[in-house]
Amino acid sequence: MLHSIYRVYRDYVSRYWYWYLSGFAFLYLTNRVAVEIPGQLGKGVDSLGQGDLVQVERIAWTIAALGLSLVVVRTLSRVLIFTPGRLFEYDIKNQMFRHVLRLQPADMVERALGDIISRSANDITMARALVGFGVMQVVNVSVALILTGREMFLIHPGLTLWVLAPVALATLAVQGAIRAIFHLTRQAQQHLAAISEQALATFRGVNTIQSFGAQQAFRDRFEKKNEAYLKTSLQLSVMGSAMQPALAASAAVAVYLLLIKGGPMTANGHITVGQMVAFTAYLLYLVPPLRSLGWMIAVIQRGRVSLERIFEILDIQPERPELANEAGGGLRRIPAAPLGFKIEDLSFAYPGGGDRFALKGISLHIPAGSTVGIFGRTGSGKTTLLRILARLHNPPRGTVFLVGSSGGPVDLLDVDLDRWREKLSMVPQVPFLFSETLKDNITMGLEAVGKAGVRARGVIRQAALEPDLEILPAGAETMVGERGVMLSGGQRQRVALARGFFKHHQVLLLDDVLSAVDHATERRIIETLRDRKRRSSATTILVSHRIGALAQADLVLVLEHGRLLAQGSHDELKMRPGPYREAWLKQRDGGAQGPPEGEE
Amino acid sequence: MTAPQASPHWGAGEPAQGAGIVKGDLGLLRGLFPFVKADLPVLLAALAAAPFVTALALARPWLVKIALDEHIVPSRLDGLGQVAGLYLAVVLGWVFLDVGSTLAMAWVGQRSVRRLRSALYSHTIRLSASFFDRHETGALMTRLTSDLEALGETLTSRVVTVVLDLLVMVGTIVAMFLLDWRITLLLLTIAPPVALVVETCRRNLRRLFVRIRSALAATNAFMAERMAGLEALQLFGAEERSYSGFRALNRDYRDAAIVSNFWDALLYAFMDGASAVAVALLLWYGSGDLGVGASIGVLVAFVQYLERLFQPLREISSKISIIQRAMAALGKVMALLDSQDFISNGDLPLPADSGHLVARNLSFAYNAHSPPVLHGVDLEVLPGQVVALVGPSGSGKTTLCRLLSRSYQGYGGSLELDGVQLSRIHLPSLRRAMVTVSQEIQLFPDTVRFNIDLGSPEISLEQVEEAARIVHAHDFITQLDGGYQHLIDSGGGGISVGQSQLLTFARTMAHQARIVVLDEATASIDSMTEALVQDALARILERKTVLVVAHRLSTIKHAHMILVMERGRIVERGSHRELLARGGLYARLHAKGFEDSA
Repeated sequence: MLHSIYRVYRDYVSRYWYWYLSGFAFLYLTNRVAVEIPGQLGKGVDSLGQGDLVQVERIAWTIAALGLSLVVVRTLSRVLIFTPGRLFEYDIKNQMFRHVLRLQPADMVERALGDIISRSANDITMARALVGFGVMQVVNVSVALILTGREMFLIHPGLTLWVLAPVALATLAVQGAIRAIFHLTRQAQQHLAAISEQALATFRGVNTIQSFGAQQAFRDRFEKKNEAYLKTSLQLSVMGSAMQPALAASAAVAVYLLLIKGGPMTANGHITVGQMVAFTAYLLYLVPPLRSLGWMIAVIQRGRVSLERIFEILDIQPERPELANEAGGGLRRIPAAPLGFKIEDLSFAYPGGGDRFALKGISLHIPAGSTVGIFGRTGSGKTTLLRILARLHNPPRGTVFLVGSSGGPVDLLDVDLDRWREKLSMVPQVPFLFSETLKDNITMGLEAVGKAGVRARGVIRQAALEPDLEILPAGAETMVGERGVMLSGGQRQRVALARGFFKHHQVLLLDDVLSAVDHATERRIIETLRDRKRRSSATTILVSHRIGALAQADLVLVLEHGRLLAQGSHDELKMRPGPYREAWLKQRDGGAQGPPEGEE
Repeated sequence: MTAPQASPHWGAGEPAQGAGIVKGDLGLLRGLFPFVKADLPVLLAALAAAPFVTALALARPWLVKIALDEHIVPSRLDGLGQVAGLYLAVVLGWVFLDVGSTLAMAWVGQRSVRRLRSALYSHTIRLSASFFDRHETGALMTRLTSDLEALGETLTSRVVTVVLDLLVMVGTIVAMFLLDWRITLLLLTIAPPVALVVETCRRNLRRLFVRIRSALAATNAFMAERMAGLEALQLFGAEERSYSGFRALNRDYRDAAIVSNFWDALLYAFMDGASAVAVALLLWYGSGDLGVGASIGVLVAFVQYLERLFQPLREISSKISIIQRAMAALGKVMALLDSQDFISNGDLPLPADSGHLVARNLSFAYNAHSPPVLHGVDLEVLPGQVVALVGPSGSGKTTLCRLLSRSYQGYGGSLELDGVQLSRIHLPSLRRAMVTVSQEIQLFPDTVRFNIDLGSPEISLEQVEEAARIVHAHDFITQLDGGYQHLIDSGGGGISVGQSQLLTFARTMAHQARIVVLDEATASIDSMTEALVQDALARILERKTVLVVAHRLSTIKHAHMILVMERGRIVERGSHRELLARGGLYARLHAKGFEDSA
């Protein structure tokens, strides 16, 4: 349990030791100055009793001077300790974002998007409070207790023990509540994450919910999560509400004991009236730290829970088998272009998919520089195959090899993932657009000036986007909205296609990129693909249901139920009985026969 | 190649929403009232306890003064026990009342936040599609989580503490006047500098907090979007550029926060200093320079009252920040709750034999600044008819569907169902009668069954399975772990796009609507599955009214009427044969479509 605190110290806090060290120094100084004031007050009272008014005046000046210096040292101590908390927050938030950027789909299976965002947004704030406010309070309360105790002890040890006893007892009692608070806090945070997740999914799918009038069912589900969260929060409140007054009360009980025990001592002359007054002032000085003790404990508990939740994310190891080989010993260079693939007995099941194989016993060869089409029905494994080639999912070792113009085949798992992604360009079936300009979505944030600008204009033409730019309010500078909501489905798909063309690549993977475009556009894009094939040596793999798009491929692979059913050229396959021929006939006849007549 | 340079737009991040507070703080609190109302008795009881809590707290220094002046200093110990006992009783009474009222406040606060969260959720899912076009889902999620959290913290403890604080400060000053009005007046001379510092810090903190909140919202929204598009970032090597965009937003947040720390610390420390100066003044007064002395008990009581006076002021910095944060959060929450961007609900019942859909001279623009996307569209769908919309992308087909499904309003012309304006029909009944399958495949992180029946109590498991069988989804569903109880995660992992689409078909089937609007619903499914689905559709929808947007000519085989759209207008209409014979746009599209698949 202490592990997360140690880790945050080792990996983050220790980096800012000089902030903390100087902060602690000023915190010590602050408390030194502050506990000096009750002592001076006591002396002043005694001088008053003795009629030494010059002394009283001097002491008054001293107290005022102490007060003014307190402003400076207290300010510094708080700034010096809170700042590293903010720096920590900044660091760990950056680190978390960067870490998540490196996670692969397989790493995220168990993690819902809303959950990760909730951890970044809420848990980091809590952890920062621990590292800033929490640390300061721990040191402050300890220093204040020790210094005040010491001053009191110097006046009268016995009386000090009496008055500090209730404070010590209350602090001990509070310890008991800590464990319960820790567990409740963790539970509360899980409930909150569930609320985040449902809110996110609901708002994304609000069209569907409204269209199907399903608001009530979603409300009911939300209500359940909301209710569970309330229950835990209330339990936490009970703990919290009782703690703070109890701690403050312990200081008041101390005053009671002071009157009972210290009164007779003063009357009997064991201590002076001034010392008695100083004791009341010391106890008064302890009230704020004691009051904040309950608050501090809540902050520390919440912070600990949050740290664990943050580290859970940071500890997910991205699936990078090529780095797992000791010291990168197995890391191999990517062969020189043009690149082809050799696949040997590839079987693949998605993580969590059990023995439901998306691909089974696939063996094939994709020649370097060729255009290969993949055909098959829904769920036949086409997309899975592309995703494996892009290493969005890792194939088993020894099944997928890269073949270049020189050198032997290299296992795809042995090449550096980042290098590999640099070589390829992939356009997925469902494109994701960012709420940036259309142009930024194509260049993925690269500034389109000079050569890149020419290239950007080129790919806009190739993806048949030019007519759309004329209609859009700001052309290529149009903000496309969240997930490209301002564009039609076909436009989104073509922006993604342009994005795929824009990126330099040796392998181009196109996953059913023509599904949402109309026929005229489809035709233009197919011409583009033909044209690109003539001009570049890139290997192109094209998934499509449209025979028209597949007809130009050098080789067509037919997949069914995760197996390779047939392969050959379009001309061969269209004559061979099977799904490809059926589709070819159907798509040819679909237009020739027209709809059934005379139905009205 | 030169080092990749980030375009200035990339990651600049639009501020999700104006961070300004629309109404005054009081107005905001008034908006909160309905959510607190149910617990009002508890709230009032807790507030009623406040004066007693204060009085008990203020009695303590007075008792200490009596103990000192009347017993300890003159060495008369016989009554000391009673005074000390009274002191203890006062303390115990105070603890009892304080714990009770704090708990009551927490109870009221958290129950109110829960109500507010439910209301916010219910409200938001009723808002129109155009609202969601303008707001990021990540930011909306923040309303329901972080913002309400900030609010909850305040409602439960802080607002009340502030009320109490005020009471304590006024009460303390009154007690001080009663004890010795001259000392009190003397001590009040330090009030102006204290007020000045409090006000300066308060103003700066308030300003900084608005900045901090909006920077935080921008950071969260950015993260939510980049994570949703993570695969695209990775495939295109844009991680580093995204990271630098994120870091810039995060840095804005950090810098504002660090500056706010300074004001926060200064305020806190200044109260310590002011309190010490007041003690010095007290001592100086006691020395009799003003001609009047004070007893030791009075001095001690004053020191204690001073602590009471400054303690709330010292904590005011953290309270300001929390309250400001809560007010900013409340402002955003209320703005969301106030957004009336609903689809207007009608009060007319659904016509009994609905199915005759008519659009006359329909025109529409998404907003005032963008060009219209529909110009004077006339359309008629007879009951039981299947009408297909065909045309190049961006021609307005999807928009037409959105108007029919009432996702958007504010169109020109008229849209009628069986002679009744669509906008005047009771919305829930209209929803039951007409469903839309949108371009995007929308699955929810829940069971397969829930994704089909969407929690409708009117749909039995048998009906769910029947619907899945019709669209050929049953087989793959039964192969999933847990079958219909299989949990679909938010990434949709383990289910192919085609299968996801089959699920949305099953959803459409299961809901038994009379009118179905299919928007490019057949895209992404291979022709074989598509043929099966269309076969099923043809059987099931035989007696229904269907409007289908299709890019594939095979999809419109069953259409009785084909409408060809181009640039927001219907340019051709008729049967397949008529349109072919006309030799216009349809014929051209058809020729190309067919040529491609040959």
